[in-house]
This record gives sequence, structure tokens and C-alpha cells, in this order.
Amino acid sequence: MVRESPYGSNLSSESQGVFFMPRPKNDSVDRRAFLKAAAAGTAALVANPAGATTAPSKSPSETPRRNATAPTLAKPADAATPSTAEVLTVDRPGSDFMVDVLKSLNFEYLCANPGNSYRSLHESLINYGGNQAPEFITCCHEESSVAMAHGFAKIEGKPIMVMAHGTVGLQHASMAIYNAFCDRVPVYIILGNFSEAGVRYGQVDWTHSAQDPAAMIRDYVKWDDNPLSLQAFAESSVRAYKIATTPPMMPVALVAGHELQENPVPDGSNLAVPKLTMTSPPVGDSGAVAEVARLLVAAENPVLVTDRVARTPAGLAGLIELAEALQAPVVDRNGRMNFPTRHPLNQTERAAATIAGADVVAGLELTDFWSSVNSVHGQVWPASHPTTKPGAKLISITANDLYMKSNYQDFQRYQPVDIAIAADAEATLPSLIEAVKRQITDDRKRTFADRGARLATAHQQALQQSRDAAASGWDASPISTARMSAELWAQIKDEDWSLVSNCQFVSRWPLRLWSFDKHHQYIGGEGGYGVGYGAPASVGAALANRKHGRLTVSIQNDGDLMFAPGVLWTAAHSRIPLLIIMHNNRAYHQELMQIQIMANQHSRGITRAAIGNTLVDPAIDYSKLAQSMGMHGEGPISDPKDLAPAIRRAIEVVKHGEPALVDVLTQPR
Amino acid sequence: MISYVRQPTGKMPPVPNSTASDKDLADVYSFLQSIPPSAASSENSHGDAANGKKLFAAYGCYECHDRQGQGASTAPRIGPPGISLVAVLRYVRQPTGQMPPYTAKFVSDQDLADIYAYLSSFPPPAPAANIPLLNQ
Repeated sequence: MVRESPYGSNLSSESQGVFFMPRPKNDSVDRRAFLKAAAAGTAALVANPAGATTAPSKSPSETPRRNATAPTLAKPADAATPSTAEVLTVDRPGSDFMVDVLKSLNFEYLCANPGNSYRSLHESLINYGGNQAPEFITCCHEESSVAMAHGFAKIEGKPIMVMAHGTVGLQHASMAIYNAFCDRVPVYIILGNFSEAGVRYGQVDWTHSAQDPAAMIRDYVKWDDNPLSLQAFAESSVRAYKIATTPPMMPVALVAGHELQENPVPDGSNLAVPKLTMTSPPVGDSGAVAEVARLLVAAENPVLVTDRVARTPAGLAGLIELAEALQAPVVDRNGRMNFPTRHPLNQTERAAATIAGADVVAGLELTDFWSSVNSVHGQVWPASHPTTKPGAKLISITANDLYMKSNYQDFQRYQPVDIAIAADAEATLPSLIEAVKRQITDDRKRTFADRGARLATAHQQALQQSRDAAASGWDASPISTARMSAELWAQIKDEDWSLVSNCQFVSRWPLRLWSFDKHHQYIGGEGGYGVGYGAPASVGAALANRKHGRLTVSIQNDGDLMFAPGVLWTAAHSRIPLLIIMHNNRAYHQELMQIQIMANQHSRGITRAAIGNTLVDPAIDYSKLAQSMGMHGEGPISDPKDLAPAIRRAIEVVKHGEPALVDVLTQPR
Repeated sequence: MISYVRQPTGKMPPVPNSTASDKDLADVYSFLQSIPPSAASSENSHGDAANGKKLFAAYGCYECHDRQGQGASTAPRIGPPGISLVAVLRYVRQPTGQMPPYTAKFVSDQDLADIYAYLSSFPPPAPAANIPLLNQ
């Protein structure tokens, strides 16, 4: 047999024949008729092996053109022989084996917008796989699929699957993948592709095919592969999972070739699903950890600056233990729920003063160490100066030092430090805590106690300052974001709640006013600051929270929702309980401020910055938008007195397992 | 002013006690208050609050300070103003931090006086202690 197979020797010529038949020039040929005719041709080939050797099928250019079998193809479908009909069905497509592999990875869900480049895998998942583990979540946009997986992973600590066309679907998904990459979150992406030109039916298949589908996202995924056999798919699937979930965690992508999915598993093949063994996260070198402990214990004013330390609840507990052992302040950049907001050692609201007074600054999984110890000023051109004292020792513990890409600049400005430990900070905390406790003397304990008392007082003063600031504009209409946050907190504080939206755009009021003390109560932000993350990530996080019975809450920016509002339908359709409170300032407000700065700088008029930045005329009615998607919607609410009753009504809906939206007209920030 | 300087929002670097004591800052404040109003600003010190409300929106002041000047993470509270109109006039012409300049080419002293009058129309915020929702 001289026919070349892209799958190596696993597949017999019989099993490949139907897929390697010459293709028609006329794309309008009925597909059913074509398949039957092709099968008939296969039967002929099998019956006459010599014929196969004289007509090898190597590539479209070398393949005998479809008109070579035109007489057979021209026959009506019902003219096919009974034996031909038998090969029109496939008992065990390759995609069934793919499902076996994917089930071994224990995905709870897969988020996807359907696409024919993975139609066989789609069918195998819902029928052969029983649409369980993973369960198919219908998404209206691939960006939503990925962002849902992003939000899910931050709550649950493990990835779910996403499927997309390797071309048009991946192009939609790419921004959300970038966000997850920057946020160090694992997302597991399967890409459909018509890798073999001979299996493409026509124009659409060709435009949905790529030589190297993952090329467009290779700069912002941790790993990708394009396996050419089922066994290679199995091994790469398990490898991809391990890579994605080993710190620093990032998205991965795996191409599932259309032909690999649809070809039957060959008889007698020896396929095996490899065992998944999770890689333990990298822990800091013991000598370096001991030196960090020595510096922290000896310091008069150490500070722990955190961003994405707490991947899991263990990280939160570990950071509390470390901070309390040292009675050291914590300044939280809030990339995750790292440290309780009401803990007396939490000095986040005094960040500048705390860092300015520090003699040791330990950065734990800091995305941007430089900005934590430098201040940028100047309006026309950024100038900067260090905010730390001269001689302050800087320590970095981050898994980011283990893996970095070059094109996209999310690695931030280089910050020289005194000790750099390339390791996962959460996994390193236990040994660091142990080393710290070993070195603390009774004398240091007394010093620490005094420091802790001072910090507790400062924390309480900062909290009071936040409350005083929140009182300003309390009765304003549109409603102040402080008032909205306080009204919301009053309704949820006695529940097992989870805030799954970024607080940055509401002046961080929830982080300043609420008491966060559980890991699932906050998940940080976008990662790459790509707008459009908020709504789908919240739905994904709510999906993760559902089985835990948590009340999931999102303060939703209006501009963000408008990128892909179809995710509201996904939430309603999949019965995902989620309370959405619209922060409706009717603008892309961040950009509005930027254009105002430019207008003032350029001195050509200062009253037209709203052009291109506002969402007015007509104003968008988000309650009706929600209702149109099949969910509870109420608003717009502009009088603060009306807010609490509306939130209570919406919570009742959410408690019955449905999403609900309250549209609130808000102050800009 | 002291609390702001110690813990500024925006891009202003903090000034620790070791650099400037509370007494130092009080002296700076006294100096600023002692600056006599210029003739022009004195003439314009009586602003039109209704017009100031329109200008506050039209000139984009609300974008960072919110619509009643109550302040946000993007800019401090300015309503009601904590500094004199003279100090406001000087600051907006040559601001520090990230606030863009509002030059006399587009914003007259009278405009600023009107905006000042608008911001002055708001009472000081109620003490947070008197708001139950802020004591949860």
C-alpha cells in the first residue's frame, strides 16, 4: 500500500478509504450522494488492491480529480448498492476516543459556540460521552467561551474546556485568551481544523482551515500542539493539562484535526489514555527561603506586597499565617483574594505610606513589582522615582520568573531586587513560614507585637477614612458607586457570597468597605485589561459557584457587557444563578478621561471628549436586554432609595437558581 | 490636606512625616491661605452656581471628580471645595499629578468662579458615623 497516511501506521487503508477519496471539482455535489459514491469507490479499491496502488492519494494536487470517478458520483443516491450503505456509518469515530481522553481529565464543563470543524467531537461528547463531565455550555461568542473558562478556573482552581474553530472561532477567542494568559489562569482549548486538504468539502471548509491554527495565539499560550494521530492526541491532551495547571498557569491549545475526529478508530489499534499525574508546583530553594526569612525577621518595617499569591484557599491561609507571625503589613494588589480586607495587618489603603517606610519589601507573585516601588509622574512624558527608602531590601518570589514570552509586554518593567526566587509563592509559603518562625526570638516577638498594635490602629483609621469618603455624594443621582456598593453589601453580607467582578472601575469601594475573608469572595480582574471579560468571566465564576450554593455577585460595567451580551442568554439557558448589578455610567469612561487629557494638552477645545466614548442617544436599557435573554431585569434605577428593594427582589430570583440583573445609573467612578 | 499628602490618591507621591511634619504642612496651608486674591479673581469671586453646574459637565470635570465633585479613585473630593477660589485658579492652570491643565484659552476665571460656586453649593458630607450602611 503506497498511500500516505497522516496518521502513521495506525490506520488501515480500509478505514481511511472513505476519507481519502478524490474530491469533486463541483462543490455543489450533494454531500450524502458524495459519501455514498465515495464509499462505493472505497469498496472498489478494497476489492481491487492493485487499483489502489496505481492511484495513490497523496495530496489534493496529486489526487485524481473528482471527475475521474464522475460516473459513479453522478449516480443518484438510491442507486448505491446495499454494501455501499454499510460503510456510511462509523461505529467508533476517532472523536469517541478523544472523549475517553478528555473524560480522564475530569473537565466539568466545556464552553463552546458550535462549529463544523469539530462536529464529530461535539457529537461524541453529547452522545458517546453522555454530555456529562464535560457538560456542553452553549456560548454565543468564542470570547465568552474563554472568559467563562477564565472566571470558572479562578473560583474552582482547575480548568474547563473550550472548543472553537481553529480559524474564525479562535480569532474571536484570542483577546480572552490573552486576558487569561496575562492573569496566569489555565484555560484548555480544543481547536477544530481541516488539517488535511482532502477532507474539505468546499469554500467554507477551506476558509476554516489553517496550516498552523495555534500560530496566531502562540505568543500568549503556554503550550500548543497539533497531533497527527489519536495516540499523539491522547498524550498531548494529558501533557497540555499538566502544563496549563503547573505554575505559572496559562492557557493551552490543542488542535483536533477534523479527519482525526471523523475517521474510525482502526480495528486492532492499541490506543491508550495516558495517566495524568499532576506536577507539584515549584517551591523556592531552601537556602534562598532561609535568607528571605532572616531579612523579614530582622527588618524593622517589612511589608508583604501581594498580587496573585492565593491560587487556592491554602494561599490565603498561608499569607495570614506569615503576616501574623511577623506582624507585618500586607499591601494587596488584589489580583486574587489574598488577604482579608478587615485584617488589622491589611494596609492596602495605606499602600504608599507603608511601602515608603519599609526597609524590606517582599513581593509575592507581583505582576508589576516595578510599579509597586516606583511612582510615575509627569503628564506629557512619564518620569519616575523610587518610592522606597534608600537601602531598602527588595525580595521577589514569583513563578513568572520560570516562564516568560517575549512579544507581548505583560512582563512589565524590569525591577532589580536583592533576592529573586523563581517559584510559586503559595507553594513556598509553608517553608517560608517555618523558616520565619524558627528565627523569631522572644525579643523580636515583643517588637512585632508593638508593630502589630500600631498597624491595627492605622488600619482602623484607613477604614474610617474610606467610610468618610464614601459619605460624600451619598444621596447623589446618578447613584454614587460608594452608595451602590454599600447598598449591595447590606443585602449580601449574611450570605455565602462571592464577588466576581473587578472593583477597579467603582473606585475599589467593595474592597474598601466590605469584609472579604474567604478565598472565593474575590477573583481579581481581567489580567490583560481587555474589555469584554467582565460579563462572561462572571458567568463562568457563577457556574463554578453554583454547586457550592454561593450567592455570586457581579458589578457589571456597561461598556464591558456590550462587547458580547449574548452571555446573558447563556446564563439564563444554563440556569446559572448570578446577581448582576449594572455600573451604568453610559460611557467607556476610562477612555473618556484619556481623551479629556489629550484635549486639554492639545489646546484645541475641551468640550468634545465624549465623542466616541459615551453610550448615549439612545441610552441602552439593560433591564430590557436582560429580559430579552430570558432573565430577570429591573431598572434603570437612579434614586438611591430605590436600590435596596430592587436588589432584594433580584436576590430572590437568584436564590431560585436563575440570573438576575439590576440596572443602576451610576456616577462615573 | 495633611491626610491627603500622607496618603495621596492619583499619582502624587506620599510625603511621609520624616520629610514634612504635620507642623510643616500646617505652615504650608497657612501660607496658601494668606495669599491675597488677585484683582481679577477678586472680581470673579461671586460665581453663578447654575452656570457652574453646566460648565462642570461640559468641561469634563465630572469625569474624574464625579458629578457633585464628591471624588473617586481617579481624583479627590472638591465639592464643597476645601481650598479657596484663588488656590483653585492657580492649581487648574498649572496642575500637578495627572490632572490636565485648564488654560485661560478655554476656561476663564469667571468660568472657574461659576464652577467654584456650584461646588460650594453642596453641604459637607454627613459624618459616616451617621450613615448605618457605612458602619456594617
